[in-house]
Amino acid sequence: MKDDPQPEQAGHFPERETVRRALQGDTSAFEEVVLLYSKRLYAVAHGVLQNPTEAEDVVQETFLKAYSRRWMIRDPEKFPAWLCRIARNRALDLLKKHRPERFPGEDGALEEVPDHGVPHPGESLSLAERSDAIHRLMDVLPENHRIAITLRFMDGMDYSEIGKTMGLSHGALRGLLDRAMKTLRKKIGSATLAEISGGNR
Amino acid sequence: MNTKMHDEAESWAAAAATGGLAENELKAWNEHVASCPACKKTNDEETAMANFIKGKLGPEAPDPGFEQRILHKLRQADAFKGNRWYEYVLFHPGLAGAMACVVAAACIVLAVHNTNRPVVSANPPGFDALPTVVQGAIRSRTGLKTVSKIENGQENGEAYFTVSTKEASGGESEFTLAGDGTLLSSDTTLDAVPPAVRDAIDKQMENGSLAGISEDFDAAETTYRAGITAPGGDERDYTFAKDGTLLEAETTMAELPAALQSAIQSKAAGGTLGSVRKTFENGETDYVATVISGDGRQHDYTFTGNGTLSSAQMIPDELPAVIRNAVAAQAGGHKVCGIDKVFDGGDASYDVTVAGADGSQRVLTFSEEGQLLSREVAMSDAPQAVQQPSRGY
Repeated sequence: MKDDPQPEQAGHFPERETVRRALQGDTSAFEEVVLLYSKRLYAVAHGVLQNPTEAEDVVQETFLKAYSRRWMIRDPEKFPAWLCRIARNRALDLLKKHRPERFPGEDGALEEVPDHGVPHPGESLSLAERSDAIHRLMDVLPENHRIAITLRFMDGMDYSEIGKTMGLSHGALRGLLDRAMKTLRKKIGSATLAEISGGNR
Repeated sequence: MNTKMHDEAESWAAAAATGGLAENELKAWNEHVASCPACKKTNDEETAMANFIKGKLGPEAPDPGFEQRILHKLRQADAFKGNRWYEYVLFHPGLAGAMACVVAAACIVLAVHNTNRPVVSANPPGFDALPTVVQGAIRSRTGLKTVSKIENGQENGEAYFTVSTKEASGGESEFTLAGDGTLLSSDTTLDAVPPAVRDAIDKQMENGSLAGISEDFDAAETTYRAGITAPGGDERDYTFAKDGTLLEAETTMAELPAALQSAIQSKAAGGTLGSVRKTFENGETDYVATVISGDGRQHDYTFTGNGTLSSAQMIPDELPAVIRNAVAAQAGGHKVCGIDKVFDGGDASYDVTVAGADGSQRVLTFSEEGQLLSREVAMSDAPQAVQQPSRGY
């Protein structure tokens, strides 16, 4: 399978001027930046924390921190990935502090995360139970996999936008989402998958 | 059958379900799926899983008021609010004067407002004993901040007052006033310094961290002194001009050439060596050592890299009578605000900096015999012919 089949859209960054002005301290431009990026930051934080209230707090803190430390960024194109890193790191701090049992550790080892609630082949779960189980499944993914999945499916971002937000090339993102989907597939189990796919036809 | 696709069906299905396939790849994959039941099953399951995740995560997207809440809180934040007027002036230099008037008016209103406010806490210790002009300056500067400490000191006979305030955010900051209430320096933040200074501090910091920034006000220029802590914990001060030029960098004796160390030590004998700084001016590097003598007087000595003393700071009462008289005769009503004895080969002269009522400074240079050698003048005071631009010959 080809690793990077789509041409990179290098230089395609329509919000460059807005970001440049925001980095120079133009508060109006910074407010535009908030409107541009707040949802994807929410997805990043939610991807890590799986909690809407905490995710919103992280977005708030991220923009404040970004505003006060905007001098650190000179290239506007690096701004989205930098914002994402601030949000991700803050969310990880909160996760570690409030729910250390769900923190996967430095190596992101999946084995450390409890497998509670994940349906296995042969188990009969209602749709609501299954939905909840899939949501909890996100916890078994390494945090960068969770972030990519959340950006893709909560925010509906395409590869180009996710790549810019996470600072990943198309190929790297494709590999990451591939591994994430395989992990979810394995955890869900083939019987449940067959049932879900049957119900969705 | 496309065996490569078949063998990697899960990856192709995952890429298709997450939108990662290029148009030609998607077409090829769909053609393969249409002819391969096993891959079709994998693809259906992957698509169903993607739809399921989307169905679960989609409703958890933030509500419509989310962005406005973020904006609202951001606008309330001191860091964001605090920069608005500053950025306005910064990016619209033509309006700086008008803006300064607005800020001054706001300060007056704030001062009056604070004067009329009910007293919430007693004046900080020592406040009532301060000169009235200093009290007024502290009132007008502190605004809503709470003064936590006032310390007074003297440098070469000049009184100064360092005021510590508690910020609303819980942090502390300081500013220093001269005895006449003039602001000498004030703690500031990276947000508030000009972008060129911010960039220069950033560059100097590398992997270190910022301990603090002080904005130092001088009639001649405003400079920014940043305390930067190196990764190893060593903290040093760096002074920058408004345009980000590095003016001074703190150094240590151990880093200096032996001859320079020896020259500094000879001046520090009997006193205490304060800081040693490398200064950069007109492409030349000099070294300035601050020495505090036993009686508390403070002198800056400037050396070249080989240890030659090029100038020594003096205090007015240390001047020989002949120079003192000459200064009195030439300075008129101007205030003497700095004296350096300058050494050039075997000759010495005295550079006396005087300040006018408007704060403008001039340097008068006298020989050891008290003869006026030069007088710095503003361009506007120079003859018309001198003010004409050079024609290149």
